[in-house]
Amino acid sequence: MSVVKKIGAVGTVAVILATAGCATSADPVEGESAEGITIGVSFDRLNDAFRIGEKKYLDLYAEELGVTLIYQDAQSDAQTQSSQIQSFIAQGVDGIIQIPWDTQAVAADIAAAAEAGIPLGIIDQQPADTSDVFFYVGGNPTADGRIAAEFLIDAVDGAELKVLELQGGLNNINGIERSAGFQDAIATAPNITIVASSPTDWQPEAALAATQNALQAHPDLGAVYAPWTGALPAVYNALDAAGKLTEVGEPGHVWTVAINGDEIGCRYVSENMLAVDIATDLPEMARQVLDAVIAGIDGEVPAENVVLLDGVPYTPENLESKRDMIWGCS
Amino acid sequence: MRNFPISGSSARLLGFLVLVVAGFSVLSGTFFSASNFTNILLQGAATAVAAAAMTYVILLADIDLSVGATMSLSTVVAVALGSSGSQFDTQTTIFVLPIAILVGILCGLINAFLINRLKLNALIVTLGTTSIFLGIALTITQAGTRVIDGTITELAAFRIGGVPSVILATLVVAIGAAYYLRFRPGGRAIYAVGGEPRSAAESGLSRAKSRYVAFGFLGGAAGLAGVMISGQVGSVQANLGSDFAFTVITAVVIGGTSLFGGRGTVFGSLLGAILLTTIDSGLNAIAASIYAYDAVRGGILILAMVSDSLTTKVSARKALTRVRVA
Amino acid sequence: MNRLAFGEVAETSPRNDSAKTPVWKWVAGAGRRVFLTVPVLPITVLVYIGLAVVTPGFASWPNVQNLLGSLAVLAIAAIGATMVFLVAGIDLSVGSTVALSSVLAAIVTKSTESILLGLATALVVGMVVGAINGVAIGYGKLQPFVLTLGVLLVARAVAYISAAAAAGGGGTAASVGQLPGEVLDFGRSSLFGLPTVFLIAVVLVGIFAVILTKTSFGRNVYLLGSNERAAQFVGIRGGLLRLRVYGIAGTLGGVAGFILMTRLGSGTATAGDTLLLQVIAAAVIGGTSLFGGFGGVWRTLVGVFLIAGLANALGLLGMPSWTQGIVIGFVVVLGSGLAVYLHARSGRK
Repeated sequence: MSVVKKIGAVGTVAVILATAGCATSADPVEGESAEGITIGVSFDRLNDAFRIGEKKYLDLYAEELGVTLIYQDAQSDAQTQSSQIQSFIAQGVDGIIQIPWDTQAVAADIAAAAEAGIPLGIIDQQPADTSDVFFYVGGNPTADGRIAAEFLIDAVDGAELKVLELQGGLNNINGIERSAGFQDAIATAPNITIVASSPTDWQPEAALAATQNALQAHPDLGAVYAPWTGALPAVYNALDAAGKLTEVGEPGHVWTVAINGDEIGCRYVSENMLAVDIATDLPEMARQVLDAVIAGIDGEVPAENVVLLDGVPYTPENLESKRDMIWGCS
Repeated sequence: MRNFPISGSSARLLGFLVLVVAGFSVLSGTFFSASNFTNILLQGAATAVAAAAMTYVILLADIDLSVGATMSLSTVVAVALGSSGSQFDTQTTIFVLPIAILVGILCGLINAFLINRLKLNALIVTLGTTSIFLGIALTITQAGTRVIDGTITELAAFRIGGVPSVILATLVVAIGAAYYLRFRPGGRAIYAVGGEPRSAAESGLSRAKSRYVAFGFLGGAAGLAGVMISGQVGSVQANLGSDFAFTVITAVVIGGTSLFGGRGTVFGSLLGAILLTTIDSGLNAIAASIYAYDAVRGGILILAMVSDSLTTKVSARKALTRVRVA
Repeated sequence: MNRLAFGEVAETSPRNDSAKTPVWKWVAGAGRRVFLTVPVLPITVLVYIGLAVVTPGFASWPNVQNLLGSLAVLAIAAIGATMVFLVAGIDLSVGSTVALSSVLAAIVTKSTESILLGLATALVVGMVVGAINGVAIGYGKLQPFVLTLGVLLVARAVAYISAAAAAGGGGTAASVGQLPGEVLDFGRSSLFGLPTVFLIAVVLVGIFAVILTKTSFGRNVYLLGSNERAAQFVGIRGGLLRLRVYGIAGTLGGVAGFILMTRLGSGTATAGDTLLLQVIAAAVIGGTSLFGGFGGVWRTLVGVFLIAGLANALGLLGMPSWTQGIVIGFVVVLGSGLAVYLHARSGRK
């Protein structure tokens, strides 16, 4: 072997081992009173505020309960997630919590976990077929969309309103159901028209372009519905550029409604910019799934195996009273 | 070298653009208006800036898949270093702009260095660096989003004589890029190295050096593009540029630049970027189904290629002097 | 007579049959032959050993099975990609082809309850996409990068539309599930202790390795990639050959899509983009040149092992996905550099 090749070989291996050595600083969360329970947590991805929030609350309650969590990030790939669940099963974890990337393929994971006798709790993305699921807890996206629509219907009280509906991504069941809930509810109000439904794939740039285009085509645009709060900075910048950025209640205000309940939503609501944000009850989600899985390890079956948590709508008026129910405000 | 400023392929592209605009204007009542066209230019500015610079790289018969990741990393670093305030209320300063450009240039130089030294295909090197740059950006942001305000958002909203600063900046970059390419020795060297590598080498022109120029420029342009986007959007996140590389490369190729090197213009790439943005805007205006976007983009790409290939064959058969550089 | 096929390496020390070769010399000779055919193999082995030491659970049998099963899709798709690289082309549509064929195969399997019809669908879909690529590039002389990019976009759109249509438009899903149980059973089954899908992948690699080294078709592929003018001079019809190569690549993409469906128990439209990058990385690290004429499918398989094994181990270590990205990026760059260096060295011998 030549020197260069040796260096290349050693170098490659060294890079890997060095980073592997540093990697174990992504520690599993340890509880003080080690109940000795280890739960594998499989996230479909870990690259947005919602997932970060979910992880935060899972960590919080796991620490309270004295449970160890091992995280895996499937990086938006169904096969990777399936493989990671298999890994968990092989590693002999006591329980598994999963946010499925592919709501159809998760059926295989459900079956595999059941076969191995490991309780599998699923959160946030509802599997297409929940008949065999051990436990699912998530938000109620259809209801959330509907609540957002109903807010607008009440707010304009019969007056004409043109709405821009921003849509999320093609492969996210929550975005799709929020959109459906929103559209169905708006359809019941003849005075309100959705003038554009623009896909954004959860990208703020797309939200910016959609808002700019809608304002251009409909200068009398009256409302913007955003299925995630990350779109809001872009929406507000577009409104500002068109000279239409006002606080809630001011004349000529363009209503903005959003869903998520994260820090961005909390900030804009507290600044009287965002008329209503619907907070998904992340803390409760985390608590319920951990409770269910831990009980499942002891052989208990949850009373309800599909739990949909209602979102908490909050506005500038009632923000203070609801502050501790909103995860983004804590 | 022909002095005619618009090449044959650019003229075709212009015609295509006119057709697309006409088509969408018919389908949607509000498409044909000054404010809409301004919006299109605003929305396409980042792509245009990067496409102008990507022209350099592709003229060398190289390619850069990492432009999106470079954009993301440079913006993330620049905002982190050049601002104050909390994650959801970040006040940016003017320093964000030069820092982003510098970090971008650095990333570009790293790409060029690796391609030169390791003697690897640019495709595979930039594939690797995409992963590395994006990984670093995500590590810095921990996958979070920063809401930004301050100088950079003000700058992005600024208008000089009614023309948005973003569009002016794009023009400056594009004109500068075209000028350098055509009139400066470094630019001409890029055409030579890409188009006639053997005679270029014999004349003493260094491909390695041209690479540093091209990739460095593209990196800096990516940094600028990132600041443009975040300034307009008002937020910064690590996956700022996920599909950006393919969009930019598509713009450059549609614009008539050959992936084999040596042939193409900055103007063509600009047109390509504008065409792509116009299509997106048009689809938005006619409320096209969410599925239509990819299909239409792919279709237009193939159509542009086929028409380009057909017309070049026809003109080659006519055995007239083909416009090699315009 | 020892006729060499392109890509095959001559033994530099001919064996004398009358003398008995000591075992160690035979092993060294075999080792050297393997090394010259698949230069990245020793590195990969070293890396695996290192990972096994550092990563708890990596070397466990269930994990190995998991790993082998999960790399089958990548390996099969990479065979086609390797062949395309050999003719100095590129196929960006491979990921979308896999996604599209998995979706359409799932739709057919679901409605006909026949897994074989699903396989047939996947093959046909792959063949059609491959043929489109092949005709456009081989006969239309269009630029492979751009053309296959266009096909990628269109195929991806069709995949999503099909999945949504199959879901009845009520909930626009991106995947088609609730398939007959045999589908998943097949995907998760084992043969001789190893995942069936992995064995299928290895067999396919073997078949194509033989095709590439021992048939005139294979020789023509290498020749076209390394020296197009010489190939034309010898009478090789570039258009037809490219059509075949891209067609095969597309068909293999269809097979990979079918295997993906059996692994997940559903067809998914989202598979595409990561797969594309992994395929390219695996091929290049394995030692196939993007400039054409050099490389092979066994090498690519080793590249697949390296990439998949690394991802698996880093995941087991709990490394955050972005740090994994950095590591893999380094491996891609360093590994490819190494592969090119080794190529340059062997060329001098």
